[in-house]
Amino acid sequence: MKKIVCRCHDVTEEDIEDAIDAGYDDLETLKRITGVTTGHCQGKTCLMLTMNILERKKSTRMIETTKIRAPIDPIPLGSLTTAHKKNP
Amino acid sequence: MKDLEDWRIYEHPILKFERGKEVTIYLDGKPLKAYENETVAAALYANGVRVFSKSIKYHRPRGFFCAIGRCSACMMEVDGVPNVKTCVMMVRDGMRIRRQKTFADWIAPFLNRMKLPPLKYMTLFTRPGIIYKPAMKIMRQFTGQGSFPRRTPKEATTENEGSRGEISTEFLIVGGGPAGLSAAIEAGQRCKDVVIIDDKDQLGGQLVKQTHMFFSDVKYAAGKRGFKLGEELVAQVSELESVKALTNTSAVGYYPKENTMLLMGPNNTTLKVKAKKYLVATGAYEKGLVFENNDLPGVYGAGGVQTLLNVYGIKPGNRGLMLGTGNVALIVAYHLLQAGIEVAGVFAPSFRRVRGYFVHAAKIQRHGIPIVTRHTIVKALGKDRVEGAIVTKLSENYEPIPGSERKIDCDFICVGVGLNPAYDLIQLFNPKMVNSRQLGGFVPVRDRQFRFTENAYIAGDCGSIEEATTAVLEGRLVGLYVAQSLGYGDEVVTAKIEEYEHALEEDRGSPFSTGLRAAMQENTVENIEEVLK
Repeated sequence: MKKIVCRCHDVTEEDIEDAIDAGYDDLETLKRITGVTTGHCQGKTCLMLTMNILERKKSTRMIETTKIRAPIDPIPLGSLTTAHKKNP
Repeated sequence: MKDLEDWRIYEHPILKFERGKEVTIYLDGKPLKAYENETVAAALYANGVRVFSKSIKYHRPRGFFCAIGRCSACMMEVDGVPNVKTCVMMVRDGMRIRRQKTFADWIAPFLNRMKLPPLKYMTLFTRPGIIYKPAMKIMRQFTGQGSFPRRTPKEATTENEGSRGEISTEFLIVGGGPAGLSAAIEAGQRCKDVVIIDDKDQLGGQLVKQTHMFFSDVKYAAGKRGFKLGEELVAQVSELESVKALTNTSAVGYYPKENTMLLMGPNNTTLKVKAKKYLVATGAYEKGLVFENNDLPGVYGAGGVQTLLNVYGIKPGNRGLMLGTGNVALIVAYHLLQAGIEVAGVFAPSFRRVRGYFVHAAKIQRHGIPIVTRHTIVKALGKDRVEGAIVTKLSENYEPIPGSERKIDCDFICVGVGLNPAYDLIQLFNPKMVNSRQLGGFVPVRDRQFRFTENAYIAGDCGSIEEATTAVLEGRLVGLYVAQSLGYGDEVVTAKIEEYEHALEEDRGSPFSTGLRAAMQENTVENIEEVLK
């Protein structure tokens, strides 16, 4: 039975807790080690859930969030390159 | 639970569903009845289809979820094109839809019992380099992400794809909800050139789904049903010639150095916008809840349920379980009752009686729906759809009390535990962010004019989780501030600003919002430029 935190990459609560226990106890490394917040939705629900788990495990209040970069929604790469071209 | 042939609602006390022409679509070769103006996912749901795809790693069943093209749960093959988000794809006659099957599907039950390492793209099969390509090919087969069509299907022509160039405007509003629309009305009456964008196919934001009446001051938007208020605001905006509305357009990036926002329009077209002032009114995302099987088809956010019920007129199930006692949960529970759907109960871990307004709680209690506090869900039951849920009582320290578990009969679970402000577009402006529990999550520090950077304003739920009526007032104020700073200010503007500022103060003046007022004061500064330095 699994408790899913990140639906896009099937990251479970257990995965995140294990990673925190292994020493990856900040958001940026946790993101890289488990893949949480890096899926299709870019962490729209799982970022806050992950922060809650971190807060609970470390008993601190999270102040920092992850770095957000454009594009914030999944878009076809082709259209991003055509954005550079002049008016058709 | 009995399975219906057609889950559509044909009679509703408040809403009238205008369905288009009847068409036929095919799921894996089986013909299904659908109507124009329905999305593929809604049409499939109405026909009782619950499992749309399988998840990437454990091949867990996934179905209808966010309904707004944000998650990956509904990706299917449509007319030969893989990975189409069916919840935003409109139905066409004769459409052929296929589930993306993989040969890993038959071992899914075993996969589910195993604990696989996280998907680490950066290190997965990268060494030695020679195995990377063949290993990736095999991995892709396992993930169920579809395969690229051998021949490009006719429907997938890319003639529309491309750039629509660059435009400049005075005021760009991101988000067509109550806040964005109100800002457009006030600014549009005074400025020459205002652009409002929304990622849905119509303006109105979440108002289109609200069938209940708002309350606060009748002068400002209250006393009307939500969707009526939305219609009114949209009508007022469309009357203004200076306001240009771009629907089906989402903001995907903002580049502070160039002061340019990149928009993604219909048919994958891009548009660059340079604006003097920006308003971010992107609203909020729903909070998730972690429990066993929380991704089973049938576990929905309150927004997904509202979309099904009030936009497409489709029953999400026969009997629902509601989690949370905030206003969202109470209102959606009432919407379910309106549509003639049983509600098994409203459960919440909070110790206080209800977190939402008493009026909403009383409305559903009058229908005999129990509101159970100090309870939480531990597990959703069922194999590929929800068939029940197990709830448990909580002790003083929010720990489950063993032996207090009980099974609740239901065929869908609605998670309405609250909202988090949408932080992502705001962060691209490089503001100072704070994590405030009272305001709902990550929000930027703003000044008295709701500016969070030199040229960007914030209004509505993405600044603090409040009522739609508050969003209307904030939006109107931002519209006026922008008009003033662009040099269109006069006595009328100053008088109106004073009036709305007073109304906003009164709106937040209730004794229930003392915490919110304090948090708002703490995160409001006199001069935003100094904070950002």
